Amino acid sequence: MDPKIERALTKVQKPGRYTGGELNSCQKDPNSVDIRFAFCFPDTYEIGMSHLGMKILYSLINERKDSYCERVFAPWIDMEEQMEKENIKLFSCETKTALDEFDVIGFTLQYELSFSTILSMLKQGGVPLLSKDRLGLKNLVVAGGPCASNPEPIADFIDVFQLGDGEELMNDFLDLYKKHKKLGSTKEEFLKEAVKIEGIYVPSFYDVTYKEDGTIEAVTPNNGAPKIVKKRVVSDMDTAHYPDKFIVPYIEIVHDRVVTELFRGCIRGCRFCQAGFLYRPIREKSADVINEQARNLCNSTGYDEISLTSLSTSDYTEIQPLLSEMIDWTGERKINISLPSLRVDNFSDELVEKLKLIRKSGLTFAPEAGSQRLRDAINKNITEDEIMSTVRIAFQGGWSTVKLYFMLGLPTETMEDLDAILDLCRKIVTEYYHTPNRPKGRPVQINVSASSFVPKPFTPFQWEPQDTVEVLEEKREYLKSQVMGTKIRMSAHKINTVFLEAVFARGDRRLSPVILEAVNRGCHFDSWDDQFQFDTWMKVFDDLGVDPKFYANRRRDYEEVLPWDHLDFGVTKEFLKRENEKSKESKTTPHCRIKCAACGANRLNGGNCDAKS
Amino acid sequence: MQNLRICFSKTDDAIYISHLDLMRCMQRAIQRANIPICFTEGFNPRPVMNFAMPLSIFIEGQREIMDIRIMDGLSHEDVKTRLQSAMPPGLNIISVTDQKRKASDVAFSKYKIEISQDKMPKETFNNAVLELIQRPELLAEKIGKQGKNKVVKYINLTEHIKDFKNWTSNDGNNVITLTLPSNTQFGVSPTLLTDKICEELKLEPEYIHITRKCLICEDGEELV
Repeated sequence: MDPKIERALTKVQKPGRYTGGELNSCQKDPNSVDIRFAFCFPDTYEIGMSHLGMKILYSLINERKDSYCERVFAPWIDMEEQMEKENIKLFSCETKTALDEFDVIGFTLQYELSFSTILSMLKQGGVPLLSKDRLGLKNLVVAGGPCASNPEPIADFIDVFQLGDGEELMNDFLDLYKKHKKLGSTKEEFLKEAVKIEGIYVPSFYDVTYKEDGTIEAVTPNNGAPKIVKKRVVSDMDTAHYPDKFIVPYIEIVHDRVVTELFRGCIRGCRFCQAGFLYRPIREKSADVINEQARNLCNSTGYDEISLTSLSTSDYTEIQPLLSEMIDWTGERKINISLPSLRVDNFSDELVEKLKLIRKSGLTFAPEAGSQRLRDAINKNITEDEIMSTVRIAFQGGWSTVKLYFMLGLPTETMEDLDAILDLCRKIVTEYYHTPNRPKGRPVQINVSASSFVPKPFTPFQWEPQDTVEVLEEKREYLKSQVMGTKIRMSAHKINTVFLEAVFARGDRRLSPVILEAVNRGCHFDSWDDQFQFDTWMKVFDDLGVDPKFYANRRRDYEEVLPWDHLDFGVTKEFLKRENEKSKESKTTPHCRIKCAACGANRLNGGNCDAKS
Repeated sequence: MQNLRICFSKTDDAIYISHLDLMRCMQRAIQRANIPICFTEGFNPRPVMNFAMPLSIFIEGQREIMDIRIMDGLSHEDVKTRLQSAMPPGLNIISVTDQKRKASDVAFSKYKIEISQDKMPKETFNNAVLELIQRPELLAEKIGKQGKNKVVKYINLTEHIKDFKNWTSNDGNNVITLTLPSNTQFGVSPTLLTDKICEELKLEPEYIHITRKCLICEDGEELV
């Protein structure tokens, strides 16, 4: 290792974030490959290493003989300081290569508040920030992930966006890159070919014009780019690439366990939830494949915990047989199975029996809204009776603590809806003491987490305004003031960050200069409360004459051209409009297995969708 | 059931693994190696494993000791081969033996300190360090804990340093070897000495590399 790096490492709190060399990390001779790929996660090691998409793509790229994928994370403030002092460029975990030496620099866009960290990483890596300043094919900056559904705020910095599932798209992309690197093509020659691949969006090939009122007039493709870019869909989850090894970090990361995916997509259609629409159509992995992948991963990592992930675990059609099979071999090895994202309407006695066999962890449910009217308006599709019966089952099963998620600022929300949140919590407390075989001698604990609603693209609420910061603060304070006693505890999220998130979520290209300037003034790690510089951001908006409220707090017409209208993520605008109208009347839409809502997502999967029985 | 003593080394990039992370890392290696480790009884079963003396981050360990309890059926040699094949880079199994004496018998640690510096001639540096060690009192700040509170204590390093030797190595580093107390009640970290040296001689070395050679019991025997 470079002695400069070694010296820096002895002066930081967690050197394990930067040393690499973990078990199952990939070692290759960089000179033996055609493409050197830097997979960048715009946050700390602990967060980035927990991300499943990175594990999948890292393994997929490294399976190719012609490519070497290395990991790069944002150095924490202490390391950043040391690197500046020692004049060290941002480097990869595997070979400690500086970022500007890589052919392709890939970023994953998991949350809007990481946009500034992308720029700070490029900056630390010696890579020019603006796409137009990077002239060659080398240092091509690509990005994918959920925020690529509206990538417009960072359009000036990214050369290529990959939309949708990466498993097949990444290989097509690398094949083409390799060909053009060998030919010695220019960046433009490569990009002109790249836009022919389904799922590739090159923002510089689109001209955006604006109306006088600030809304978009038109988005016009040039250079032969398609008018509409469709996201890529992996149709068979059983054969889709999945790693048989995970890197096992030395330091503790956020999700330090084996992860297996049950399915992609969601049948529910909660109107506020972007993931529920973005990942449609629903595609299940079969229980045998999941069981096998979980076992292999436990063997190759030594982890003692498996998480079965999806957007709604209990909706997996084979959940009971899968759990039976897994409990067989995990029990004797003391391996814990965790089931995140359980729904209250199908939390059954049988499921509880299975859960009791595995180690007890907390139970979390998300009613999202307190009143039935508002739950119907957001299409949460759960009744109060279902919530009550679920907590009863949980209390009978020995739990005395439940965590409940709620959202403040949902469209059509009134003060009565806020009161209903606390009414619901009080009813749950009463339910506990009316459950005869509840845990004895323990008081009930209801932990309420109240976050704020952010309208997102490709959801029925994409046209809705976000409550202003003032209104959200008022609602939060009101709720806090109503909590009495110790049985109900409430935690609320920071509101300033939610405002900025809303600005970026539905922002357009005029935000690129704002992000650039904010980074130049030292903003990054915006999702970290102790690093977030709200005042600096607001000053930048002001100095550049951009009104953030235009993006966060404005209601859009159905006719308005939205910044992401030229991207197709499956669900049609007509469907989203229908859902938006129904929400105004508090009308629900049954989930996809009861009745197909004709969302349109199966178009991108050859008409197939696993919700059909 | 058999109680085994694993002697292992922690070198190269593994010096950046903290003690807490090392415990987790070893647990997983034991799982991968498919060694039938025994678990503690109780609500939260934990593998039965114990480290004789935690090693601080940034310090290399040449003969570290970890005790484990496993089900019968594997020979020492089997355990060694299996564990070694599951070790991540920088961690190596040296031997697997019975536990001849208690891990709590450890009383001292033997260290080697290598210092690379260009500020003063090597011999001048060696002599200056020797002079420091021979002072009747060389006070170092030791941050201890009293319940939840941090308290600063001063300890006299010269009182605790044993078997001190220093010289200049062939590759031009200033080298120190010494023995310091390390038992469950009281320990002196070699970094207290290196920090003191840097402070007294007003230098910021290119690098300081510390190695724990082995663990020593009260009677002067190595813990094996």
